[in-house]
Amino acid sequence: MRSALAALFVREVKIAGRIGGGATVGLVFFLILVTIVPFGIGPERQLLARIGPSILWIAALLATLLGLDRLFQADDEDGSLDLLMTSEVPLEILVAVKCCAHWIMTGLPLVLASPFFGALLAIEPPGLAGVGLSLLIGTPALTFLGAIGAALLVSLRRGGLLMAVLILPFTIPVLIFGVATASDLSGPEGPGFQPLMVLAALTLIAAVTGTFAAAAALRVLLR
Amino acid sequence: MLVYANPANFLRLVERLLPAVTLLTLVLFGLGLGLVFFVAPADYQQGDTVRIMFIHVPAAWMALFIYGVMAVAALGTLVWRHPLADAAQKAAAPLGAGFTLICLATGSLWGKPMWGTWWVWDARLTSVFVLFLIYLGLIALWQTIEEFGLAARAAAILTLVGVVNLPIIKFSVDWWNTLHQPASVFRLGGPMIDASMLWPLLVMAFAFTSLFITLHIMAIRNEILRRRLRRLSLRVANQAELPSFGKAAAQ
Amino acid sequence: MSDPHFGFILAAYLLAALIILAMIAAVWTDYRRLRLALERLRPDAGSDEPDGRE
Repeated sequence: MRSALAALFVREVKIAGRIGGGATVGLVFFLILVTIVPFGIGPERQLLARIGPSILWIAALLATLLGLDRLFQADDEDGSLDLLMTSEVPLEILVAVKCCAHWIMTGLPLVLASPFFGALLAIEPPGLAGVGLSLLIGTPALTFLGAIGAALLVSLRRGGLLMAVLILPFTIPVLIFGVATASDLSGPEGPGFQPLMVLAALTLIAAVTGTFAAAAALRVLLR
Repeated sequence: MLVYANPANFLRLVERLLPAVTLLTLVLFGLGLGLVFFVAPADYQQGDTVRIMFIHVPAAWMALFIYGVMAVAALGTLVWRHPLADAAQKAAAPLGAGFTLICLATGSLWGKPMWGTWWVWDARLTSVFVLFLIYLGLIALWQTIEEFGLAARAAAILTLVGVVNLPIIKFSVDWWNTLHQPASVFRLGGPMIDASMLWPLLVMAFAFTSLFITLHIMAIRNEILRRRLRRLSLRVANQAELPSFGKAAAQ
Repeated sequence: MSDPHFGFILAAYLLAALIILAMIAAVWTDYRRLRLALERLRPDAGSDEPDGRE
């Protein structure tokens, strides 16, 4: 089974890395979202620094969600999803592997880029570290939750916006505690780590819920 | 329960039940509003404004209750494949959204004079707002997926994932320090509220529940009729006469 | 009622009534449209057909 999972993982990574695979587009979308904020809000540095972590989080959220419809759709279109579903390996594990690959190619670049984009938003280095760490812990949750939406709408073309509508309410706690973690880590009195604990818990819960719900959705909808 | 899996049987049941529950709803509302305005006293702190509570709280209870009904229907769709479960799910979503909206709006109108603000993002209000968004998402899902059975299964999974929100709503006032007040009725020690206010509250809650039951069975009936209409329309379209080119050409 | 917040109380009850009436109206008009459409297709289709396969 391990070689099968490794093969799947490598395949996912390779496809995502290609043109049209979604990795670069997600990153560019993230950059554009971050860029338009100063145009909308004004360039005052103090204001930008105060809301900067929130902007980065919201941009990461949107960039992740809008890039998730390709998680299952491409495979559904060319029939490989049917093959995956008839495999001996439990569907939940396959979904988990796909999500991990997706996060590494889509979520992780956002995390690595966030310090640079945060500098565009006038965030100071301690703040940049805080936001980066909170994104590192929290963006996997977004991927796993988004997988539920991707699975629910797998047979629906043009379902991207509806998917965001369905999954965004469930990502609100992640957003709340993500931003709380960012400000807690870079706060003046030193980190208390409580929001980080909750954020980590949310990611773990999302990992379990997401894989099982997405697998159930695929089974039930693609009978 | 299984005998009502046959939609025709369910329609007959609705015909029998509907006058009774409609009457019950009207009686309960009449009784409830009478109690609210003539029996319940003005609060010593809030004055008459407390009477908003008799709409806000039952609406909140309905928002949660309807989601529970939808979740049970979702299980019916996924686990038991009960044919009526799909219709029950779909019919419940707009009603749930409606009662949640009443809860949020009346809460806001109560909050401004009493607590000084139209809205605050505390745990209780945020989680109820999230519930409202989930209802809207489900309605959007039902509108977007054309095939009824597919939509029902997708909605069922999303509904069950969202069930986690219900305990969060219920216990949010205990777990976090919120502007919204803690539980005064459904608590371990029993209701903390005086009988002169508890009874109008309970009667209004029953009135709202009766209203939901009335509207829900009517809406389920609509879904059954809609499917029947769809099938008949398809059948009529298939049987439509084709232009008789063949006959003309043969002459 | 001479309560200073009378406007809020009135608004709350009116808004609730409005939303409830809107829900009732939506369900009721949907029913009427469906009945009319079924009547048009087949005069006896509106009543209870003993079809088990829906």
